[in-house]
Amino acid sequence: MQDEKKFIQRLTNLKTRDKAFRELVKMYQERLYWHIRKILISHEDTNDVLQNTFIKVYKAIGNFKGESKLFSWMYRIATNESITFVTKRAKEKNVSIDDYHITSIYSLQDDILFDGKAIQIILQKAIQELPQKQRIVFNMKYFDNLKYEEISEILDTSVGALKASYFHAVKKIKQHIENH
Amino acid sequence: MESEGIKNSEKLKKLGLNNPGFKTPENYFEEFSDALFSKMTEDELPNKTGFKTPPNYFEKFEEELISKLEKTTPKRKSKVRLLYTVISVAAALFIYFGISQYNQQKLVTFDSITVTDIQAYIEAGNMYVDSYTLASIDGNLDVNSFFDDAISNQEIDNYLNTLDPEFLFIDN
Repeated sequence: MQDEKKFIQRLTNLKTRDKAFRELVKMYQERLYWHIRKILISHEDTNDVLQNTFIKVYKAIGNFKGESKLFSWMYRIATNESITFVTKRAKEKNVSIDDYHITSIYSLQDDILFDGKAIQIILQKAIQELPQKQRIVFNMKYFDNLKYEEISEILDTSVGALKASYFHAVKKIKQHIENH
Repeated sequence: MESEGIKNSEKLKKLGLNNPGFKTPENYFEEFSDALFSKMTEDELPNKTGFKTPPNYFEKFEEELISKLEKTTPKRKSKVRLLYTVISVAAALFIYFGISQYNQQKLVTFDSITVTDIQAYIEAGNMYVDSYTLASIDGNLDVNSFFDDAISNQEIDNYLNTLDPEFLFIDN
């Protein structure tokens, strides 16, 4: 990516903002999409939250202080938007957040936008049964290959706590797979 | 780790061997079991989720997003239209307070009109500013900038093109 400071200046300058924003969308849409999709499972929900994430980024870029990387800041917005979405939906359905995640996986086998094998369905079920924080940490480490330091910046959690979360998540997933 | 190194070197000494002098990276043994465990799990598990997107989803996403963004972001009112609104409000207030204080023989200036006076004037139903107009006024608006910055002919043309002829007739 080009010099981040200059790019942020283009994003905040009214004359260059729209063009720079389009470049930003092109650069990050796929990464953020897959991050959100792993939390929400459904493509339609992911599409809504991804759009809202970029709209938030567009409106809030003027307040971005550059204390973290632009990528981490956007990832954090996407994570928060996803969590807010799940909380809202769970409330509407009058179920707990954990139950909402578990039920979201039931329709996976019939989803035309899922072509996973049996082991991938079992893996997704195991992931959805994890507590929210462990689920997000596992996805970011296991599928996105992010470093603990990067996850720490995004989730504002210590590296030690993240390692513990990942360790517990892997242990539970392994146990789940052995039982199925 | 250093302590492991010391222990190993003691064992080696007991065996009559010299410390080979090898070192491990910092926290190597602390992280080894995590890394090994993860590696074993990764060997057994798929590293792909199995999720797919509709065809050409990412190619179309940008346009859909921009279209949604335009709908959710109110368009900025032109400088001319804002100038019209601000001057209208200012003139209404000035005339009202000028007339009401005429009998008291006081000199009316903008500085002599207090916020309380303006609130009382609005609450008495003397002025109606619709919510659309209020929402369109930037909170950080510097009214003086209207007079300091020249308004281009193009901006005036753009503004006039947004008005219907009837409004222009009343305006003039």
